Amino acid sequence: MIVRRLPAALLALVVPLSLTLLLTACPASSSTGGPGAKSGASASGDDMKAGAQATDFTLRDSEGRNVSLSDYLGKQVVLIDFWATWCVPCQAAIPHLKQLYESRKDKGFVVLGIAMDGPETIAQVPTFVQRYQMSFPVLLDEETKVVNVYNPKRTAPLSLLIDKAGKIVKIRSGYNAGDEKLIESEVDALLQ
Amino acid sequence: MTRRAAPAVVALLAAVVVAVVALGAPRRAEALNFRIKGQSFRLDITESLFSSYRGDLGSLVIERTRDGQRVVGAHFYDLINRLNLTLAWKKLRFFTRFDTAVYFDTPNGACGDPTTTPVPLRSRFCQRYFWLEKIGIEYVGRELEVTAGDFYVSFGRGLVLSLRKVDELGIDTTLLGGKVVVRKENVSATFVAGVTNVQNTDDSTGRSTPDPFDVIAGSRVELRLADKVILGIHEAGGVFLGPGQSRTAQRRDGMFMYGVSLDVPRATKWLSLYAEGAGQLVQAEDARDQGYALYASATAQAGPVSILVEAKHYSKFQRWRSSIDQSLAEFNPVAYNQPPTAERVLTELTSPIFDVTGPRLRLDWRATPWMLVFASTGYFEDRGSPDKVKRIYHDPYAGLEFRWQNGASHFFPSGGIRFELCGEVPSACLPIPGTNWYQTIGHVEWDFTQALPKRLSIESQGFALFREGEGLGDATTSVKWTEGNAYLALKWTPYLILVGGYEWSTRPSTKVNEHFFNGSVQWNITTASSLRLFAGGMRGGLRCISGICRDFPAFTGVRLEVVIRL
Repeated sequence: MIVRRLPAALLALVVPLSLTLLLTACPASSSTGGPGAKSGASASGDDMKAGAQATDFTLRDSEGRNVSLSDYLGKQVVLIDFWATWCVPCQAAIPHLKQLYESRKDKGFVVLGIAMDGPETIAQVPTFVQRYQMSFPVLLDEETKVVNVYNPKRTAPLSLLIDKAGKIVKIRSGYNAGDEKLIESEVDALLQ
Repeated sequence: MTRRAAPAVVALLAAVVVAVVALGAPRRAEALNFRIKGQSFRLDITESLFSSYRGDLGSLVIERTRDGQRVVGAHFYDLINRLNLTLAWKKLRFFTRFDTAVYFDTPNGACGDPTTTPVPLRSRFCQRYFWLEKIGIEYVGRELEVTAGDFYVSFGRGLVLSLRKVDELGIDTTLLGGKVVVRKENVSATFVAGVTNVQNTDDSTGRSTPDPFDVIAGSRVELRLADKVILGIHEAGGVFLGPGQSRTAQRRDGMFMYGVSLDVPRATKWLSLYAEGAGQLVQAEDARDQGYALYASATAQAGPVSILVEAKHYSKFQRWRSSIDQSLAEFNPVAYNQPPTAERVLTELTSPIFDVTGPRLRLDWRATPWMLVFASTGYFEDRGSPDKVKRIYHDPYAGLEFRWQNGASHFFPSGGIRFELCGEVPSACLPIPGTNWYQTIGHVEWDFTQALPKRLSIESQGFALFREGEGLGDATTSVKWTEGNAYLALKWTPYLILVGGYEWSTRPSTKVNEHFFNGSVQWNITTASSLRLFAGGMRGGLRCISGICRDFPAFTGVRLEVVIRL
């Protein structure tokens, strides 16, 4: 579809941004505000009542077994973390994720680490897993199939937090020092 | 677009962006959920907008006055937009991506008739207001996946077929057609067929290309044996244009590849193995060529020590190139297979797969819970460099990872030196005087973070290259130069990031020594949406990722980046 001349240049920007504006102005189907709504819940708890059912996928893990998201959906709180061996912020974040997983896995929490490494660096994944003693499931997405679903910009790291009902409640792009405390409080709120 | 109107339009666009961002700021970072006739749907939106004032047109195109004098300080504006939409309902998912690439104040004659337009302006700054870049619908079940439309595909380790995103090089190639994946107990099979769909516009240079629509088909079967071994058999083939053929001509050149892979992720508790071989038949310009590739890797762990060994042997093994016009250098890295090079990810590689053999070893030692040391070395013999000279590479490097404050702070330094030696025909390989080295590349990299109170942190990252040779001198004079990046950032998690940067290159080319300074501020609107403003300069030069290299022009100007994720 081609639209010509100056008005079209404005149209080219306004159309996608207007669509975004329109959709951002629409309330979420399970909003937490409104007259009579209870107050006093923590800000992170209110933020996490809305969401959407996560799309299932099946990938092979680092030990060659097929793992599906539906193995955990609706049963546990799931944190999907997209990472790669060449991603330095991922190297900073992973020890915190490991600590978070090990301290809460018995409460119904799981971390699924999805490696975005392609043919060039996929061979480094096993040593990376061993080096960082990643005790949570590590899945291999060489084809970027799941990346295309949840992480179309191929951001590394990118995490999605899914509640026990299978709904996505938080998406976090990148990692900065101090993010681990925020993630911890968000996970704890869902585990209550 | 007139010169006077351009700044006003850009200002208006920026105002619209800011307004949208401000309205979107209170939004939580989750998808949009709605119901139609009792059915639940989910809509994911990822919107990326990049708008630049580029005061460096001379990096791309030399503008001259009527008297033939070079115009200094020529500039232009661009607006790049990517809108990803995904609609999910039960096991069905519909996805699409719309792109925009609009340019203002560009040179006369840009994007003109390809037969008469000079190469610097050919296919450059073509106005693409709003076009459909990717589209598809897929069904995802545990035992069956079906996709109609655009999809990514990779067989094994990419020797035979690999269509993926490589954002760092502006590559995003999909197959537009059909894909079926069937899984049943210990067997899975994948069937694909379609035409290639590339990213049509290169953001950094403004060059665009139509889709090559090269026809490709392939299949792969995997068998899981004894719950330990995964045996894979695959094949792929396709046709593409020969040199000089028009896009509407019948494709006369083709490629067919076949391969086998053996994956043993847990041979023992401490050992994992992988091996793959591929054969290649190429029909090009009425001649036939054959080649083959062998690749293997092994990983072993013993307590705090892990070892990785990779090895490759490629014999006349060609990259599966596209039919895109080869004069458009930005799109030369587009290829349909991606064999592993076993090299450092960011290393410059001249001929990483055609006719090359060698191993790489990497050793990691977790000395303490907060310190890790690693070392690696590689040795490769290249028989297929363009001047037909046997060249030898040595590439040792080492580094460490040190953390403190319970992992909140870290320091990751590394460094090494790559030696490239002239081989059997030294006269065809200009060595550094007094040596038989073609070039040496010393490198240092670092990444440092110090956490501070009140969710503040200070970070620094960068690299420096110390280079000599590369045929730039003569029989008696050696040429040395350095280049690199250094960045310093102050972060206030999760809200704000302030960055200052310095880039440089003293490469002895037609340009003088180049020094670039820049700064940026990023506001994280939500945990997944951000607005970033960049001003200053970034050096140009060769950038290599995973054995694929391309030249990027320098950037001088102002750039606004908005990413909104819903």
